[in-house]
Amino acid sequence: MTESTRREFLVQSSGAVGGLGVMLGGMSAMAIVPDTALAAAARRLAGPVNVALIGGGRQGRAIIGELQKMDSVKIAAVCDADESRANGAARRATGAASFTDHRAMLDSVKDLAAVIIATPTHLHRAPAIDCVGAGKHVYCEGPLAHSVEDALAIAKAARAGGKLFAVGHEGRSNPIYRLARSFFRSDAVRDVVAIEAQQFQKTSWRFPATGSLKDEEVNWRLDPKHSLGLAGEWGSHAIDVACWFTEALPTSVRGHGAVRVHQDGRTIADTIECELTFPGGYRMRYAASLGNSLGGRTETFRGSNAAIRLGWSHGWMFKEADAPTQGWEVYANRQQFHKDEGITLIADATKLAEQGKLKEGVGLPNPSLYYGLWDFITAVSENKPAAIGCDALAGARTAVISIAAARAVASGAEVAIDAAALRELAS
Amino acid sequence: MRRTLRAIAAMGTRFELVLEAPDAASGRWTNSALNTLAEACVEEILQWHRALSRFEKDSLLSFLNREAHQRPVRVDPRLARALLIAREVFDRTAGAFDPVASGGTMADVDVVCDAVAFRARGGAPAPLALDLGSIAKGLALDAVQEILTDASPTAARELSAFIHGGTSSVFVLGTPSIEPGHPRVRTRRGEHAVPLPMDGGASHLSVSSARPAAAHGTADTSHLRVWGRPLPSHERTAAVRLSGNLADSGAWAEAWSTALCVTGDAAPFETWAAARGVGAWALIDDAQGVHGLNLDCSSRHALECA
Repeated sequence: MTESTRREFLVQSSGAVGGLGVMLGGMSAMAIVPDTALAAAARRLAGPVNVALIGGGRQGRAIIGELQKMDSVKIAAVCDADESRANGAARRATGAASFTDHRAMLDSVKDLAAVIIATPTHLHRAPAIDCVGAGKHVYCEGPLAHSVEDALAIAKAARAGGKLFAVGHEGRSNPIYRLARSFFRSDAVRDVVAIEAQQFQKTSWRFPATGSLKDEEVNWRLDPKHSLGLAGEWGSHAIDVACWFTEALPTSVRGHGAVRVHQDGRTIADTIECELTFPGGYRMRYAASLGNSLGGRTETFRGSNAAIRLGWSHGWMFKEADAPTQGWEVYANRQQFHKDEGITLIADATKLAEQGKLKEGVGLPNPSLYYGLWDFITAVSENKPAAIGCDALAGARTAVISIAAARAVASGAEVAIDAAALRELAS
Repeated sequence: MRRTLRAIAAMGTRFELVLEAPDAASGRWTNSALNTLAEACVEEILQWHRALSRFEKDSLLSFLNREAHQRPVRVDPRLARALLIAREVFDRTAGAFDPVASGGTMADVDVVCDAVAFRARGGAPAPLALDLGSIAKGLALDAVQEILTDASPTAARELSAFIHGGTSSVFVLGTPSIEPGHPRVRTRRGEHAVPLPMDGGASHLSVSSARPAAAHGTADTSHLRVWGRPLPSHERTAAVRLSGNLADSGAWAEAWSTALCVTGDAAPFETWAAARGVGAWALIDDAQGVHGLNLDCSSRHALECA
């Protein structure tokens, strides 16, 4: 079997989309960079960016894995309040120093350009403000904060610090999401009918306590005092995508939730639904559960001409029969979903088609986390704030909305988005 | 006895897990604690599934195959270790065991300080296609072993575990109450009790089978399975040659069972086992009959040789 036919086989056998993909006539101006170009750019950067990681848990370890793909990054230090976890994470980042106190790390490690914060959400505030105060560029995982007070404080410090501050809502850096947004902003879906988003995964969200950590420290997501639950920890990413696409912020949210599956004494819901009302009158419905996995994570934008469905590494457009036809659609790859036919969204399709490599463009070659981190590292190394996907202001707004969504789910009532907080952020 | 069961689909097969703790340890190992630990094991297997899938474009393995011929790629030290294991078995079998699917051989893969690079050939970068299907399940089981031994220190072993991937990759910790007592390998010539120590330690068993190409496929599909399974699962089918071995790590066991299956020769495995100091066992069922290493029918843990 030749290399190309082997690849075709692998793509087809994995259930990915084969075929031509979308021929994006006139889309060459879009800021979509193929991964091969990303790799080349990484090698062009002047020197490695020295970064430190605060938070050596699961997300922190995933971040190390993605950073290690980049030539342009050196992980100089890892910090976690639990010594064994700090050491364990540092072992994965060869050559990294290990710390249990982020202030000691900031004092000790010289030439540190940036810090990535992957602590539990309710523990973002202190390291974020300290790192900004120490003159470091910061990437902070999303949601930015678990309270409006913390979101405002972090955003204020980020603005005063004058350094780059990115929030890990990766949708804004995801090449397929960027491509889809360009369609959305160019009115391809026309009048927005509704936005639907979901995240379903069969998992308990409960982890064993290790090292010196207590159960409540490891399982903070299950503690309503510290956790925004599914509406915030997962839902904030979908809410951020919706706000980014529509360039609008919802005004209120209704919600409800229950412990449907994991009856282990937790009080935070394992299954939720919420509905956010946007100024245009349309609504975003978000559903999530830890008890069933069908459908995974998707965001769908329904419009009068078309719908766009995003599935993290893949995206599709579903056109209505009466929508105007454009030339490229004739050549587009299509995928059948029961009775509906979706056009596959492929980043940089025109260039790939010219190279005869269109099939290789289906699906993303890296996890979404990679692109969020890549944007941040590029912004730091080339001093280009615009390269950041989600900045502190956008991240804080999303946190304020997500906090309201979490309250709505917990109370079962309609909750107004904190307009005063949003005004304060805008001022 | 407290017991928790889990099953997941990963690596193209079904993993099943049993964790047990004696009632005497109920203070520490509540049902909730056992469930939590089982979840952590399941999540670890899924993480390795995502990292090592050759079918997912955004997996770490796909990234390696795209990039490592152009530059060294830093990887998780555990993956680096697994590649070093693969390289050693490749060397010890004179290249018969080779997880490089195309573009070169394992000799073209350099692993230095947790970085992987594919060697240039003839002055030009050589794209390789690593396929770690032959050791992936063992690698995942090694990671699970790490979680379980961290949770239950050797000095006061409280946990027992029985975990298998597709019935052909088995990890046993402590003394799980599996039926009918010990895992067995069923060959065309009968059932063979696998000499798992079951003495409180940890053991890995791996079985591989060679499947004939479809064009030649007239294989007897009824004779192969590893059992002692705690939960219902599908039978393995279609084998013409079977090999099994026992080692102190899943990655080693997987690499060697594939190598034994490919070569039909237990000598390299024996040399390795002697050098490593493990009481390893190997079985090969092929045209020459059942043969292998440490097939001592008189010992307590003997194979019941046909």
